[in-house]
Amino acid sequence: MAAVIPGASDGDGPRGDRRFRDADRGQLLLISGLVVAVSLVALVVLLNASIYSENVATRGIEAADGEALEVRAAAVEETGKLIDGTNRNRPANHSEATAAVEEGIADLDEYLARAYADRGGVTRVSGDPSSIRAGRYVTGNLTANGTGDSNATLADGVAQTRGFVVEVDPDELAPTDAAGAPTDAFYIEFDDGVNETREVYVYNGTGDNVTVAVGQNGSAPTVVCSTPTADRVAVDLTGGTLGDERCPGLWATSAGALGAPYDVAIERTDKANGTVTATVRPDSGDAVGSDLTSSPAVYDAEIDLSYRTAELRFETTVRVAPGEPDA
Amino acid sequence: MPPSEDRAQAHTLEAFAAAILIVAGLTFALQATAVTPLSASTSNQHLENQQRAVADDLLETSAANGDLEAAILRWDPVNETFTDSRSPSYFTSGGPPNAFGEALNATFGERRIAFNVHIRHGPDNADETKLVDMGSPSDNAVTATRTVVLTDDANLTAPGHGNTTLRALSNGSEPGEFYAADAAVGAIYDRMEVRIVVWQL
Repeated sequence: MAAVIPGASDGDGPRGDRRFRDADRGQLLLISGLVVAVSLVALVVLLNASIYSENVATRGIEAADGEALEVRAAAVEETGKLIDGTNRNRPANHSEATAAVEEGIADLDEYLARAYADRGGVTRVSGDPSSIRAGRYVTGNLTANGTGDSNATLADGVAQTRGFVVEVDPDELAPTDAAGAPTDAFYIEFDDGVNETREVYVYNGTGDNVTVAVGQNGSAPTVVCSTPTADRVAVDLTGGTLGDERCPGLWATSAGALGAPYDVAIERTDKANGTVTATVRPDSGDAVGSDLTSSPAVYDAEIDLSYRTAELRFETTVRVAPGEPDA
Repeated sequence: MPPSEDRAQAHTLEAFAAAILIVAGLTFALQATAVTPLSASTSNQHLENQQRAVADDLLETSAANGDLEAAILRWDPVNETFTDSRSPSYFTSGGPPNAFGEALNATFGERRIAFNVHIRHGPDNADETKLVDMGSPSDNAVTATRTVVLTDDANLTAPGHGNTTLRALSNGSEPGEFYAADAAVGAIYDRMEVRIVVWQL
């Protein structure tokens, strides 16, 4: 190596040594560069490992967040089904209906406590008996409505309505259009008794599609949606669906607020065939006037819910009224 | 000083560099080669999170539009099976033939992701019935659960049994048996905990 370095063999001893050492540092520089490069690689590997563990470590917190909402959803869903199931069982009076709902909520509390105990959570669900409000569950056939007439009262003096579903047979609906609907079609009328009415017409429109049109104060109605003919078509007035499709603007108050109490009537039922179901809350007392079958029911209930884990404390009060419109 | 003595420092440094290089190389190789869809790595963590979110959302939407309830009520009480054949009583190659099954197949089946759908029921959710079973999940499987409440007057959705209610089956007025017993008071029949286990094939 010494032979290739210029000036190393010129016989000048001390000078030649110094020059040789200077040149020798090239190897050191090379190795230092290598060490820096390797250190950088090691740093990247370390960083990757720490990001990975951070990712794993933070995963648990999200899961715990979702759990409280899961408990809430489970409690609300079951209470809703409990109320509707109790109403469908047609309890003899309101105290029987209330007792059945209370008993159901107590059972739900026990179930949730057991189910979440093994996940390390403590749940508590309680229903305040005073928050369980009385209503009426009204069902019946559109044509055989007990009046022998084509017009019938569904419910008089109503403060709130939920779960209002009319199932119609498309074959029996009158064929017409929006302009002819006020004189020809089957309709549901909401009347607040102070010159404000809302009408929901159901008829066979263009192409025999089951069509729903909404009008106010007897004026020309507006078509909100239509669906191809099916076996039976459910018009969910409070839920805002026609058949399986969403139908915005179906609920009566979307055409403007309606005063309470209001009367609900089914008119021109000779132009339709099917069944109607609704749960209503009387404005006063615990009964409503109806030409159809009406039985004591629970309109809504409030439940107090708490969920606690080592890291989380969640408390809320939820009012449960399944199938209630937003407005 | 002879030039050869001077190079000892360089040799020491070289040795250190070589050692670090070997260790770093090994570490890097171990991490780099292990990145497959089934291995524990950052990219796979992402995959698991994604699959969990998809499974959760699938259950949530199916429960909201009633498909999930219809799927767990698709039970033939006479032959005691979910499928149209007696054995096995559960599906093994895809979802059940209804809206929930179609959603499962479209979400997971077409992307080569296997899934099991098991239903837990009974007083302490201790009993388990299989709806879909595609085998044993891998170590990197993720789960999602959703509880569906059934009422006593719920109708079965299996073909030919549409008019049979759970109440009629439990009080014996209709022939056959539902896979879950009436475990709740009042109008509620039982709470069914639907559990989806999802893993990459």
